[in-house]
Amino acid sequence: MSENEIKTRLREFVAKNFYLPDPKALTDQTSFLDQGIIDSTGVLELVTFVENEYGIAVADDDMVPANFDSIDALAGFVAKKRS
Amino acid sequence: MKFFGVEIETGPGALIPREETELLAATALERLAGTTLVDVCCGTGNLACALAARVPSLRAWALDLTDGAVELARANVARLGLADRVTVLQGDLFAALSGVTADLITCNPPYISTSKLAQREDLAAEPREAFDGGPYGVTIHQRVAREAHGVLRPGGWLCCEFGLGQERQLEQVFKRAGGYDRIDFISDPAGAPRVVAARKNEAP
Repeated sequence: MSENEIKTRLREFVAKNFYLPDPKALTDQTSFLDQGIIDSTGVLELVTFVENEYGIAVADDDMVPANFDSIDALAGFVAKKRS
Repeated sequence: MKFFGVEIETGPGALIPREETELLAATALERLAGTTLVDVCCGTGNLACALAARVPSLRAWALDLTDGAVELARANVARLGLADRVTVLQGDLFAALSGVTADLITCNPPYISTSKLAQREDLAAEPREAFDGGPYGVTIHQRVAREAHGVLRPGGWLCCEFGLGQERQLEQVFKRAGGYDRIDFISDPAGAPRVVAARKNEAP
């Protein structure tokens, strides 16, 4: 699975499961926290999704904005965990 | 101030107990089967003191990380004449506790996300540690759900307060932690879930 395919799948999940004021404005770099897309009401659903979808284990220490705060960050995190 | 029937002294060193935390006290009291309570993130010691005052057979340990909270909690325990039954220890979550198996654990942890806390000027007079729940607001819940499991007896309950709208998160926190066979959500009078009670599995 290419990084682009991962990004597309992540984008679909985020768009389907979280409130996006303007779905077209969601770029690969959009900060979920800054835009109020994913806060304390959603990050664990995102974590569970990537664990199930990509067969990776996310430790509590991994659950930081550096890994989970944008499509780019998430795709990079997933790729790192899968390698 | 009055908390769940006892007079609690407050100060700049710890969170001022909120009325909503009486829901946590009531939830814990209902689930107490035994005599040993551990209250983690105890702040002023309000939960341990209030429950010990209600239940004469209760032996309680109240734990907190900060000097200010531990000092206030000890002062409340002494003033309420509970020093023979309530012990206050300082450390990171359960680190200072040794050789204690709890029938019940209570926790009112910090649960505001770091970014939201930065906008809350109304909370500036109280210690930041009392509110900062990490980047997503559930960092301390995650640790408590995992670490409490080693302190609770099988069938014992862990009861935690959480923020408005965090119930879906808390459900995930306990599912991910594993080792709990029942998870109840308790709502405030307005109908908003604010307390979670999780029961540790019976021994296999």
